[in-house]
Amino acid sequence: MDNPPRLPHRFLRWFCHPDLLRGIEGDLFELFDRNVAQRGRIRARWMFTWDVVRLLRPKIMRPIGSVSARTSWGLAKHNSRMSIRVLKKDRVYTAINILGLALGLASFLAIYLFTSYERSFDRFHATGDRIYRLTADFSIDGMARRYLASSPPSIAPHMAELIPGIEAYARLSDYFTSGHGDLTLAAGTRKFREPSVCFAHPRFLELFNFPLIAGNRETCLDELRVMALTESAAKKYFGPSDPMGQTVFVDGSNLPYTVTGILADPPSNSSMQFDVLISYKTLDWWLEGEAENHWTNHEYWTYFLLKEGADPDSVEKKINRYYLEVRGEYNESRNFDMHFSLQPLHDVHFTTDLEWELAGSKQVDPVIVQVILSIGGLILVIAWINYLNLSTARALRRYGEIGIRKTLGARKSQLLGLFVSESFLIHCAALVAAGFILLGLSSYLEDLLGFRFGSQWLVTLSNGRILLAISSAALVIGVYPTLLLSRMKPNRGLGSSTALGGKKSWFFRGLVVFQFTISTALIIGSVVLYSQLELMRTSDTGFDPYHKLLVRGPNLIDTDSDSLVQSRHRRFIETMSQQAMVEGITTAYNVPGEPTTNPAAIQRQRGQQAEAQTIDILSVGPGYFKTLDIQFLTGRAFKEKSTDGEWSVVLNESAARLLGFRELDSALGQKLVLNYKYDLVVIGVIDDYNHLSSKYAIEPLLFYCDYDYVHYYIIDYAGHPSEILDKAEVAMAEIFPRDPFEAFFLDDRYREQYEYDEKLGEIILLFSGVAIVIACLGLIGLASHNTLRRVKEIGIRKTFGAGVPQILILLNQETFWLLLIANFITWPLMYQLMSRYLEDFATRISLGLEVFTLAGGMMAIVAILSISLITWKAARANPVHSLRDE
Amino acid sequence: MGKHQLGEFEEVVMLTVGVLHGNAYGVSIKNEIESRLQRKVSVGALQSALKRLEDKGFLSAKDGESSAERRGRPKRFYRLTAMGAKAINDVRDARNSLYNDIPRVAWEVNVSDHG
Repeated sequence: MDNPPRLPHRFLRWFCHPDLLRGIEGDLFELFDRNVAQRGRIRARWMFTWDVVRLLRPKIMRPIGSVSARTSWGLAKHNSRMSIRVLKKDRVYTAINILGLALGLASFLAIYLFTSYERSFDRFHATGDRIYRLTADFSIDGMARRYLASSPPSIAPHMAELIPGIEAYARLSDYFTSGHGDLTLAAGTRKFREPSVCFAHPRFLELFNFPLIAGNRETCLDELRVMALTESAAKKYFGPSDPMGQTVFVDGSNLPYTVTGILADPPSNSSMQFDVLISYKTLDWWLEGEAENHWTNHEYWTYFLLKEGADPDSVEKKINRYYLEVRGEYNESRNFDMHFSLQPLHDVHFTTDLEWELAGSKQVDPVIVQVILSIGGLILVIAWINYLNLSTARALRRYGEIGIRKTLGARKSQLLGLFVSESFLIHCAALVAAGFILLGLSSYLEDLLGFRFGSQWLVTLSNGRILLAISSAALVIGVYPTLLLSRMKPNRGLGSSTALGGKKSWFFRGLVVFQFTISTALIIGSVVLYSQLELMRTSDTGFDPYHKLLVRGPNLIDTDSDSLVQSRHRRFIETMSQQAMVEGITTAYNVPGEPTTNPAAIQRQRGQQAEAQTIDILSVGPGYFKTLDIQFLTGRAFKEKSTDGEWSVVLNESAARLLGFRELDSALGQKLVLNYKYDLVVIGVIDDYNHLSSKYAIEPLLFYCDYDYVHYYIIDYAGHPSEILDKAEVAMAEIFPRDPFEAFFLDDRYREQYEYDEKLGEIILLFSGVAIVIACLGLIGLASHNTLRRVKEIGIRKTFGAGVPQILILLNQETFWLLLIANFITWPLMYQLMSRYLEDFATRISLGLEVFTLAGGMMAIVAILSISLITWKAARANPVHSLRDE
Repeated sequence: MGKHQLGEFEEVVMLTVGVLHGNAYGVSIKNEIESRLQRKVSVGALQSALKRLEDKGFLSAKDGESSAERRGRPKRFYRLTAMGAKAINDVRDARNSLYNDIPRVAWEVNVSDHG
């Protein structure tokens, strides 16, 4: 018998409504057979096909999206309904799962937001991927190499002319505000000290897309004595009136500066931060051409825009070659060696080891960002492990249900759907909860991690990679219990609800150990960070930072003559000394807590051949050591009146040792040579004190006395801080009426150095807390499942006379062993890691056993306590209840 | 015609189902229409009309015995329901009343027009 064509037949079976199918098939077959007989096989096949095509009508097709249970959609509906029922039935389990997962997700997402903020730095400039900053490193007279973020001004125009790969360049300078004091800007009656005034090259705003609110991007910084203000600076000086075209006076000068542009405040994720941009021409005019033409002064930031496709390495090589062509000979004669590098703009934020960064620029250590990101990832993994453990444990208790499903013919893929849909439901709920946690804690997290959520945080988070990661985790976690259960025989599942009770998988124990390992590691990390911080905070700094008021000295760039400034300066010291509450007053160029940046070559004998040491030089007032209570090991301090020779100096002990004075007394009266030129005489040696945080080793320092040059007044006072503040302000206003008053306390200033490590400690403490909470939630869940499984066993044991303590030991001992294993793994790992962290600190805690036992003990106590919540109840239960039904 | 709306093809199918009383299934209906009315009927058009009429409640369907000539597939037999019978009658009455009201003159005019 001839058969009708297969393909149209299968097509018919696919689309035809099941009720009609068999009747229609019969008709078609009957017709087909008749047609074969009457018209031949080929015609018959054609007619069959044609009939099938003509059957393709709405009335005959099967309904689309039928709710019939036979379709997969129906199964999905059933599955989600089942999942909701199961989740509602076991509320504790559901709550633990969702809470744990939500905490994990929230931590991870917060950290992800933080890292994507850090990575967004300087990314808003349109051609940013082609912008490079010129950095320099140099060495003078064989002293230690110094690495700078800045470079001399002559390089850029010279190189832009010679090297075809350079499309444009721009320079920026904060010449008068970094290390030189502030500029005071005045408009009408309003005047302020501006710490971040920059001089910007005419093309600066073309290279960098800082949003301009008013003015012309191309021309607003072209002229002499013009400036662009940021929005907030403009508001500060001009209030609500339109600042464009208004006049500003700079540093008491009578020459007017015109406001030609208003910029939006630089975005917080810009590594360049400034309030005022003055035209570069103005700086060049002030410096009489030095800002355009100088080959050694490095106080300028140079940015190159390379042409598309230009190779930065070859441009860098050319820069160094052309530089040597111009300067090679001169440098050699001065024993000076300088080398330049091109640093991609996008790396600027992640480079922490360069000197002379733009004031207010924010640098972050990429390793720290990486560490925090991995902590976030680990917390999420802990939360997922929890969920996996719990859902598997519970799936085992659903043996009966699964057994029935399998007996009724459920396929593996259908069971899979059941568990996966449950997993997705929980993940969705946890995601929503995590969103609320983030919202609720946003201000705290912003403070802690140092960034703004902004309005776009949800957008940042809904990127493909995160959603993919979360949904694939949800899938894997749903799949695992299915695989486990599909191995079992249905009859075993139906036989008893505790069929798999005795089976303990090393896999799950491994996961628990992993969780403990990470949690313990995080605790050890926070213990170490905090003890180290505490050590630094409390260690003896060698000087007395308390009750010291720092007042910014007057600006020296002033129309007043130097001698007038000096006499006023003496008057200020006298006025303050007469106050009853003032116990001492002195001056300094640079106070403890601020890096010393003035290295010089010091020799014991004159001559190029004699050995030279690099020692930082500090200029201080005569009473510096007495006011700060710094001890002399030998010799004396500077005299109050300038009777000491110009070149008397005091060394700290490190400097004396570095210069080879074995007996400190022998240093007294010795001659030293500064920078191969000037003779110095040692009049005293002080005990080492921590000029910078005790994180750093004590640098060798050399002090010389400057009676007139003052950057800070240091006032030692007794009594209430606000009182001395008032008095200092009154005196400043009277004696230096042109200078704004600015003051702070030395101990606050000094403590700012620890901010970074404090923040880090707080972050790690917070997240280790979260990790522990999640791990304990998991433990509680797991313990409740295990205990439920052993209810009968406990009942029998109690009947035979076991007491509560024995039962508790029985139930808790496994956790105890797992904890022990976890500690065994963590300790050596963390020892390695923490030793490396502590290497950065000059004064550091010893990593003794007590740190580890403390952390391990804390973890053990928390873990055992949390599972005891469950086991205690089980151990106390009356065996009658557990044994009565079978 | 009221609520009993029937298309021309639907009416033909129902009448044929009536004619084939007890033996009305896809192929027999198709054959009957094709031989009596001299018109081609596609399986698709027929089946969709049958389904439509079934949904309207004018026809009822029942699978018969399966048979070897149809490779094991049963015949799906159709019968007129009471509502179906009434619908045919209504349609017929409506037609007849229209037909009867055509004035004699009209016929003559028509004849002469053609003549």
